Amino acid sequence: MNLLRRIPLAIGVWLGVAAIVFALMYVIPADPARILAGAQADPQTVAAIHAQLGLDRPLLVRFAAYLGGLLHGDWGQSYLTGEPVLGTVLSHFPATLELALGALVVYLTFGCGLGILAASRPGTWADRLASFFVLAGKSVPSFWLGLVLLFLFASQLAIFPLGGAGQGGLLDTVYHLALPALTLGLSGAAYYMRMLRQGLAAELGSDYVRTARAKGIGEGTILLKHALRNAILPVFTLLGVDFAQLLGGAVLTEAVFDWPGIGQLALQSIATLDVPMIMGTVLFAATAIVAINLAVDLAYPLIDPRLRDRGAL
Amino acid sequence: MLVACAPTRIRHDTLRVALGDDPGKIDPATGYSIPTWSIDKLLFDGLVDYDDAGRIVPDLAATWSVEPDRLVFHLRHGLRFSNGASCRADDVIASMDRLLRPQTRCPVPRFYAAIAGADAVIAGRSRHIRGLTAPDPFTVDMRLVRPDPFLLQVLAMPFCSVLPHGELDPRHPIGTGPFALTRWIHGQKMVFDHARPAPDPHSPRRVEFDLGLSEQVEDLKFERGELDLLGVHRPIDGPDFVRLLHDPRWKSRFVSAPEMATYYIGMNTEMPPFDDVRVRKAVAFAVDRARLVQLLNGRAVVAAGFLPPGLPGIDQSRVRALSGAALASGSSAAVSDPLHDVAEARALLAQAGHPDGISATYYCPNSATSMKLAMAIQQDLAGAGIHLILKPLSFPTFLTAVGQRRNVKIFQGNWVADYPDPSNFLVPLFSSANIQDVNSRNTTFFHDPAYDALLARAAAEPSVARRDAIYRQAERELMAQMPVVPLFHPENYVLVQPWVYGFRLHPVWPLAFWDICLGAPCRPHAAGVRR
Repeated sequence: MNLLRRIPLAIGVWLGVAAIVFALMYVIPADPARILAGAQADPQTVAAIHAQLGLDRPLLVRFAAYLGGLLHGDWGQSYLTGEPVLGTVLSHFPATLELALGALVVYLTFGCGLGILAASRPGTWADRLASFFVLAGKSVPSFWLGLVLLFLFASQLAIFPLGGAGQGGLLDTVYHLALPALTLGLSGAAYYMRMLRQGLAAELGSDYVRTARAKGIGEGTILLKHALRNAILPVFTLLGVDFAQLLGGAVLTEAVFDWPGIGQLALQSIATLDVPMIMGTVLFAATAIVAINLAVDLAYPLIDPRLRDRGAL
Repeated sequence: MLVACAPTRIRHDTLRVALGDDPGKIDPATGYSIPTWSIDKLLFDGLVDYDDAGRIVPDLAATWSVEPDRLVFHLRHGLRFSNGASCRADDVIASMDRLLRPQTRCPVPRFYAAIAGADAVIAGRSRHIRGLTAPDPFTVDMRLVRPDPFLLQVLAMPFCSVLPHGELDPRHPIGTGPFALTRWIHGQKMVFDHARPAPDPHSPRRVEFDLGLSEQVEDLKFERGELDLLGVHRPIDGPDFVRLLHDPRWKSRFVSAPEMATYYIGMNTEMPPFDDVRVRKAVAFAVDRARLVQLLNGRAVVAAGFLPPGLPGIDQSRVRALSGAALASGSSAAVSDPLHDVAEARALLAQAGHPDGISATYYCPNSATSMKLAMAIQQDLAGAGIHLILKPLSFPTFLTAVGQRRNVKIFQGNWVADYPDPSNFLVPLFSSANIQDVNSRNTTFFHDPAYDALLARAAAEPSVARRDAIYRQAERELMAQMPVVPLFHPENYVLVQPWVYGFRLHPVWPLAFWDICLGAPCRPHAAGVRR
């Protein structure tokens, strides 16, 4: 029942986003034909391109055509290149996926690792170091961190490349991915660290942990096998939401590192007022968020048997 | 600000330059930006071209004859596209047909409206330009409906690049140019390999364009030796420019030249208070243009008129005295704006009936440079009692706003030459024929019958020298009415690696690759050889 209710709801959200984005794009007081024709084009040419793009048709007619296209998998054509929007967005998707996965690895290794460390040694130097990490991670803007990492590790030490994505195999990809993933991941990792530390601290003070200790079970087993399993659920939720957002493109990080992902595509489309491409990138991000949230919702019972018992599916 | 480190890699077969954003597609008929023109010049040729002084010279056409009602071009023999096919007159005609068809979306089809039958193709009533014929495979006969002194100029623009059968695959373009596109990693790199014998043993065999680099990364890559030129397709970032200019390793490696462009304050001559020429002149006296040049780190010259230096027919001495290059070269000589006179500005405002000053909303694009200039102008004008409220807008919104009649009173504009001729500055922006209610190119809505008459006289004048004289007269008329306050003409500064020889800034093309040699100077006879 839950599944049957959630899928139509997800489709409704997706269509709602499409409608809002469409409306926003067409209330901007700027003429895409003017941009396409160039600043120096004559008015007749601008008018001709305006008509060719179908911009002289009523707004509702255009919206109906747009929605009709979406339902048939046609996300329109770029004003700038004439290429299909969906194809162009998907061609940028692998780079975005690489960056998103790289950031997730940083979230989990730094965030969860430090969270476990801090929770297992409350009040110690490790806990204080982790708290400092949270503060720094939340305070430092990612574009600044990116520039600093670029300067130190790419320009001065020449350990990593100066931006761009890998063009070879896995090693080349990792070599190019390291700094952008670290930039994107470090700020997010702070949230994971704090959340996991708090969750674990609460679990470690609960009755079942006390019982386990009384039975003589080791601290490591209690922490990793029992407490972590209960504390990880909100982390898992956040991970899903973050991953979905990352799939929509990390605009600032991609811009600093010249990462050819969806964020860069969105930025370029905005600069040229390529309306179908802007809508495509936003809609793709919405699709990722809706789909992954749905997947996370559906996956909950697999992680937490209590939800399965309550009939979450 | 980022600090330099020593270049580490030197390659002598490949010219490596940052291009900017990925163009997405290649089509010379629609590309209308500095980066796309660099790509076009690698891949394509037209009938004629511009030389280093901006004069028309042969390209695919070896010779041509000019008559009042026709142009006849004689193509070189043995021309080939990069796919090996011969290039003939039919290809030229098919490419022109394609250019003017509405589906192609050429931004300036009316540049070619003097060709007989062009109007019908532009309007979509015909697929073929009636006035273009090929009496033989090496001759293109171009009949005209009226004499057009600018037609050769616009035929030299990349729009008229010749394509095989007038057809183009935007991902795999084929042209007669010296290079062919061999690899395109979208968002990252474009690679072009030489398609015909190089003019010199040290000419680059390959050109690589890095795509999507941020300013910081572009600077760092150059300083690490991973790029051969810096500042070709985008000005060097201000703080880094100053640092590099004073760095002993780099300061002698700059190449600079004036850009054929003018930055200006535009005023709507139909809207009060700027419908009064005294108010417009008050703005001109109030702004300290020398300070604006300083804000650009000296990379500009204070404007002495609307027409920029470097344009054929322009008296260079009138601008050199005000050159901001003195700043850039480290000279301590003060640059001043002789027009700057706040007292005069106040007096003119009082005469115009505004003794307590005026206020207006100032529209400008929201780029960092534009905002920096706008804030300086706001301060200057406030000193004379002209209070501006800044309204920064994204460039698309800005263009639409200023092109709308009776909408914007005062704004910040700039105009870059399409082709090196005074007409390209004085006609589009100020001819009353270009006033429209929306998308107007005449954004000051300036309407002066005497000025229009001068433009008409110039357009009908076959002698270049006499035409230039008429345009200079028109410019004086324009400055007397002052719908715009010319601020400055920017100067391009490109930083060149020590192993790059022969790089020069061309008046039209952003990357004059044909004179570049890597690792050793070009042989004397190779310089300037393009075909």
